[in-house]
Amino acid sequence: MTEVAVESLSKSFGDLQALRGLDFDAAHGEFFCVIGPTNAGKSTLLKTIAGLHRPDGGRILLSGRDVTRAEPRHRNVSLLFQNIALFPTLSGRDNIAFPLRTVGTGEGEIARRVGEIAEVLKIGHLLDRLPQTFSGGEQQRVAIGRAIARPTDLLMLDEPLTNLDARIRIALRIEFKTLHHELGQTLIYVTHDQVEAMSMSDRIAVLNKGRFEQIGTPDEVYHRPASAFVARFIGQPPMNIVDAELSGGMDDPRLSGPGFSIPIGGIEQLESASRLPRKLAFGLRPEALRVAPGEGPDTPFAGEVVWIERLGGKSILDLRFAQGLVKAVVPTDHAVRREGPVWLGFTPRAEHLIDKESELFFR
Amino acid sequence: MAEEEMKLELRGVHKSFDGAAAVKGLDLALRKGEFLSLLGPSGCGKSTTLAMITGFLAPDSGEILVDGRVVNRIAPRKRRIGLVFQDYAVFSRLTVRANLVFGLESQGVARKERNLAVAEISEKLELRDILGARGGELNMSEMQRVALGRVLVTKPQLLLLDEPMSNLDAALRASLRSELKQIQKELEQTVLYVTHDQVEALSMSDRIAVMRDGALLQVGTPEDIYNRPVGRFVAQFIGDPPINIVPCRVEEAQGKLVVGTALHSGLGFAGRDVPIGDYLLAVRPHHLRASRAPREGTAECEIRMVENFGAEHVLHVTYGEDLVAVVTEPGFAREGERLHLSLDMDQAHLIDPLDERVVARRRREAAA
Repeated sequence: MTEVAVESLSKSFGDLQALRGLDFDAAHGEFFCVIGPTNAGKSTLLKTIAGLHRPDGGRILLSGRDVTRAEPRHRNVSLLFQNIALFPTLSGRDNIAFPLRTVGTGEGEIARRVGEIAEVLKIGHLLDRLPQTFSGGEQQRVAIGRAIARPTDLLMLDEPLTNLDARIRIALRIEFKTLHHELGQTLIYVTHDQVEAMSMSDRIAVLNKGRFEQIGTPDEVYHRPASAFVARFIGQPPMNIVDAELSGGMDDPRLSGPGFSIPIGGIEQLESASRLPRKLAFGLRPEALRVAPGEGPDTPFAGEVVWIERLGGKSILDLRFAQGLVKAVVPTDHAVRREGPVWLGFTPRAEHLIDKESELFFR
Repeated sequence: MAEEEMKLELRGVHKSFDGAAAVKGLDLALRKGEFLSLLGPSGCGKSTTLAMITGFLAPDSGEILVDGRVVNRIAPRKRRIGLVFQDYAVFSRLTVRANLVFGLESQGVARKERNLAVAEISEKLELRDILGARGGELNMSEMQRVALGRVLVTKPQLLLLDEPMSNLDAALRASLRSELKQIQKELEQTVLYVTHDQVEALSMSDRIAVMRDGALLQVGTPEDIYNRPVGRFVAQFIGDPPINIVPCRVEEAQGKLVVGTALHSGLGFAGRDVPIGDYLLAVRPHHLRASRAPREGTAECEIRMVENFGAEHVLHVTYGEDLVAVVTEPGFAREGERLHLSLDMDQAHLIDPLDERVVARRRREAAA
């Protein structure tokens, strides 16, 4: 059963086209994530689904019902805004209970529900206090509690973790996923943080300037990105994109550049195999780049480590080689631990070949 | 270290609000050219400490020295400290040049010197080509450099950055980190960086000072803090995914002290002698080994949740009454499947459950 269906949705504000014909379905109980940079149109999309903006074109269906013109309160959705405002004169408990009281839920049920939510979000100590005594992170958690208090057909969260301490973000990521499992509610989750999108979602929709670049599972967007935009946005550090030439013909397809010529795997699976241009680019994930102190069959190309960023368990190497600058991720106890000359290697795959003009991956 | 080389010193700095101690007798010193991060959760006293260093708050007791000089009674603008705020706060309607000049004008520097200083800093920070652009037209990298330039142009003894990146997109933060660190290194600028983000602290700092409840728990290099935390809080605050902590017991077996957990037993460790009893065992998710088939020393666990990070997956698996996280290659296993876990004591920390301090770890270098 499709819980949410959005068809050709568009919305402009004056000259600004915020949404340019968006299509997607989210299944019942799905954790559907919309990710994109600032001003991609993420919040506009949520507000339009909630009924706070009237779309210029397209339809919104919830559980098969066309709600495009329905009043917000008739849509049975809840939306948590990024800039939350708790009721300042209500305690944490009464803030969370508020949406339940507005629909006439019994006090016994309210107490049970608030207790449940407080336990999941670890906010029991805030229930009898006023919001002015909460820290930013505590306010956010109570606001999340209020958003999930009343079971609705669709829950929408707009960057709920953005303003929280990094530590709380990590903990809440896991709690959110567990909570979603337990509630079984359809969730549209908006974020600009690819870690949140990758680790929590069933599917990810990558939004850029009001258009979806790709909709797919975390594995699909990570391992088979549709465009250079997706490849750069998903994964940290982002996928390296390196210029190269195609050589060797279809019998022995190779990727070549100054100082390298490597066979490409899987080219026969590309529909566009016979139409590949000579000049193209290829994507290379930082963890797929091999780095070693010495030359070897797996690391045949000379390069140089120009900068190391140490992140505890792993390090990010900025490397210069014949084709430019690339980043590699290695464990901190890796043999390469300081700036200077190194040797590189990589194994290009056909699904990571990019058309330089359209910036789309060949399929 | 000779005293005159210290760019900032805090000696027993204390501050209370309405009888509640916010900063409790802080001692800290920054060497010239050092990048030190003050790392801790919201409410730990970081901002109060910063406000005392800048002079917007007066300590109840203790001394603050900038470049060897006690500044407790010196006005904020005369302390020769540069402060960069959250979000960089560049004036969006002023040009880059006007932003850079701003700090000098407020200090009453003559026009000729101002021009010279602006030329110098815009050269160093590669701002020369955008001096005419307005603040609102800049990308984040330019914005960061203008915010730094606006402060560095006054040649501060000490640069303070107060969570400058906390509201920025995650992807941007990564590139701004490298850039900030490279600028700091090149200019040999002494920096105190306040953050709650352990990644920022690990990636940029020469040393990290971890703060909690108004006190410093540990001051050390990123490597020290990551590999040799002094206690439970530091261990848990650093590292993503967070370190696993499970109950364990130290026992004697065949004349040797061994550690046993809910699932593993007879784990040897060569730390200092510790009394037999109950402890906590902390081990990073990268240091647990998962295998599909049982082997010697492995214990069977059920996978409850998988977090997909693309390059690696974090599996949350049952471990006695607890869940522990273990890092694996993508596609190693799915939710609901079982796997076999081995625990490497070489990478583990034994923590006293009462005072939450690390009492033993195997790494030989750790013997304190």
